[in-house]
Amino acid sequence: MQLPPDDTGMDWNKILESLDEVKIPQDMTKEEFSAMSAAREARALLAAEDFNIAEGWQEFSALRNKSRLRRLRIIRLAIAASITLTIGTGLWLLTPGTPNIQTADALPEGKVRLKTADGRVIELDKAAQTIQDNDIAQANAAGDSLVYTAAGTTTGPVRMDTLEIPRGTPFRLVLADGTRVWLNATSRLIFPAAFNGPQREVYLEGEGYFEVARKTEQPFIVHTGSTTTRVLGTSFNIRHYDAAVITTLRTGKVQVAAAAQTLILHPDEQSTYLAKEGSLQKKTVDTRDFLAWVEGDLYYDAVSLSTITESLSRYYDYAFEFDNTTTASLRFTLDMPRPATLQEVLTQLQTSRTDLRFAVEGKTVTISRQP
Amino acid sequence: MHQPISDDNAAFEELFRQHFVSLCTIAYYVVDDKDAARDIVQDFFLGYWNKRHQIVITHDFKSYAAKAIRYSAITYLKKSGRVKLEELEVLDALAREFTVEDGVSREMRYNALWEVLNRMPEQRRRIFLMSNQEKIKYKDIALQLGVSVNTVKTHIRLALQYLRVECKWMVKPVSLLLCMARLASFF
Repeated sequence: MQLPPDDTGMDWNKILESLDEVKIPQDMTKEEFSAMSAAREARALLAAEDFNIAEGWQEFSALRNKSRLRRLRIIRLAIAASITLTIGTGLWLLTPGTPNIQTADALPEGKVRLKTADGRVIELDKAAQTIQDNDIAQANAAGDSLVYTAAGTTTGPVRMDTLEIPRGTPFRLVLADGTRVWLNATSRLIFPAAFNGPQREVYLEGEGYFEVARKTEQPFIVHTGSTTTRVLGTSFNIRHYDAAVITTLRTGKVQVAAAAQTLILHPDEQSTYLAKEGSLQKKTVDTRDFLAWVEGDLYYDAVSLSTITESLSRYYDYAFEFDNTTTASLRFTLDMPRPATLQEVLTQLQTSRTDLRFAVEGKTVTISRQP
Repeated sequence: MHQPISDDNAAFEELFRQHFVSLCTIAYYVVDDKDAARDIVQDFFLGYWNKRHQIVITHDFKSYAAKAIRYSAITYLKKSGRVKLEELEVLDALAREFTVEDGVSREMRYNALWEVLNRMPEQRRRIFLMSNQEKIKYKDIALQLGVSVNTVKTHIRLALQYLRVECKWMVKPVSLLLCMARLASFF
């Protein structure tokens, strides 16, 4: 069932078969490429009838309204930011009394590292790469996420991989069961390449947001310091940068256990475990405080400068010093998409308090107030 | 120079309505899945809405959006793992051809396509649409119409050749070599 070649000399069989199979041939001549392009174009144009504008707009409105409240706040701050970003840096450099004109625009240099169970250490950079030969994991081209795919086998020994996120940008990971994990800067997750046992168990240091794929027969367990969080299918954030383990629930239900105590969390509830006191308590919170980072935003609601800079140091690889404790305890409210450089955040802070001064030396920013 | 749109919801809705179908078509060209195409376009508009004060578009919205959609669609396929990397490269080059700005709008192309389809012999048009619109396999078309698979293929080939002659916009002067050079910078 082969067609005779036509006068252009192109292989129509190749094109027709790839159209039927929706496959892409890789060795097309220029002429074949052009024919393929036209054929696919016609097909795509015909599909247009199935894209309904009214339905599309309705869906968009519903999606957008889900997060309208918090968006309104971003909008107001973003307007201010867009004005200051264009002129802010220049102004700041001209401000008298600034002891140093270095700007805080260095980008963090650390690379995301994956240590595989067989002892390999792979640095994930911006290029697309396949991590494992047997196709268990794949990193995408943007270099900000890693996707594990179940290999189909559900037996065999559990082998643990470790993913380390340096200072800088949070990283997304899709585990073999489809659970999605956002790891914040300076965090580490230890997890199996495939979930074979009766439970799905991972170990977290730092901060991670989980959207757990529902599998009733195989509970998902996050070990964090001395607490364990047990879930079936839900989304929640765990922060463990210092002595406290803070678990914030967005949807579903989780059980937090530590020091022989257990708590059940419902949406918008948060548990705090303090290892030193051995206390495990819960309260209702604005989850945005703890989930903004997942969406790529900086969000601080009347938070002290010392707390803000502690968080900023994880994203931008700069250390902070203050001229005195009064400056460190100034409170700021900030809600903006996390910019590429620290300089843009500093500019934003200065917009809110014009007497703030930033001196950048190497990787240290000293914050003072003009007398 | 296109200015970022204002907070005005109506202006945004207009932008959405104006470009929704074209962008879905671009996403569909790449992912070959209508639901996935819709999701990709919704994601794009949500991101654009959320960042509309930050994004300063130096050319026009249409080419900016087309580029963003093509990129998301390729990324989507890459993540899905169902397309090989080498195939993705070719697909991306094809998609660039599809989104190239040559002053002929999608509506004009769509109308021209139907005009030409309507001039074809009925059986040929029918087979072409069964394959390209309803996505029926050649062998099933052959079975349904009681003809040979070879006849189906011949009709589709002749339809494609006729389309290329009649729709000038389908033959673009961009060389494959140029596409490949641009590809290298993409991957």
